[in-house]
Amino acid sequence: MTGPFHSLSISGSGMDVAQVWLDAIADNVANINNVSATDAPAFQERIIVAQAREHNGRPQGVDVKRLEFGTPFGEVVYEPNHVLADEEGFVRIPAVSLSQQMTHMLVAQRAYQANASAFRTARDAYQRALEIGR
Amino acid sequence: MTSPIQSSGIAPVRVTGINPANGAGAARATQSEQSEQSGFGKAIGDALATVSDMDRAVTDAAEQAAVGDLASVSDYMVAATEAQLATEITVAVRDRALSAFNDIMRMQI
Repeated sequence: MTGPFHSLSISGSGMDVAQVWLDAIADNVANINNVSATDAPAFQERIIVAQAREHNGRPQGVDVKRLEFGTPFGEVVYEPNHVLADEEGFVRIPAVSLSQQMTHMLVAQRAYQANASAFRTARDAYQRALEIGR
Repeated sequence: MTSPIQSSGIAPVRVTGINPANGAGAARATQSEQSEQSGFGKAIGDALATVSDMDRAVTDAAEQAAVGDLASVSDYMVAATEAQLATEITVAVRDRALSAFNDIMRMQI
């Protein structure tokens, strides 16, 4: 959207991307303990690809360009007592690192907060402009 | 309700004899029509129309939030803040113009 309040929608798009990122991380964490048989694909990590939105050289914010998926092979581990284990006793678990996901979650949360802070600063600036000469 | 002026027996002044069809009056009428098309009133009117559009967007978003269709919280907040700021700006401009008008009315002649 164009208009006098451009920085508001830019910060809004940043918050949107951080939100989608948090959704993806939540999905990864929710599925991190999934176990599948060795002849089935493992849960694939959700990865967000963000891209700057630009129009006529002016900054327009950021967009989620696409969603990518991690490896479907996961990790094959030896669990002979598992119900999904094959004849040799192996199952497939997702190749998702919980500590990495938690770190990403902190970064995404801070990204959201930073955008919210930029939003608030822009709004305060606009409101301050209205008080000129009052 | 009767006004104190009427109860005191003094009739309110009625201005007669101004005929817009003749000379100076006609010119003044044309001028005021022109100022209606491009003047301050139109500017405020346009601004209010924009504010009204923004308000409609916010109402739509509020409705979506109420029924659970809201895709993005930030879109709602952006729309709400934009509408708030636009309204504040329009009101500030109107207040400033009104105070200018009052200053002129208070001018010593």
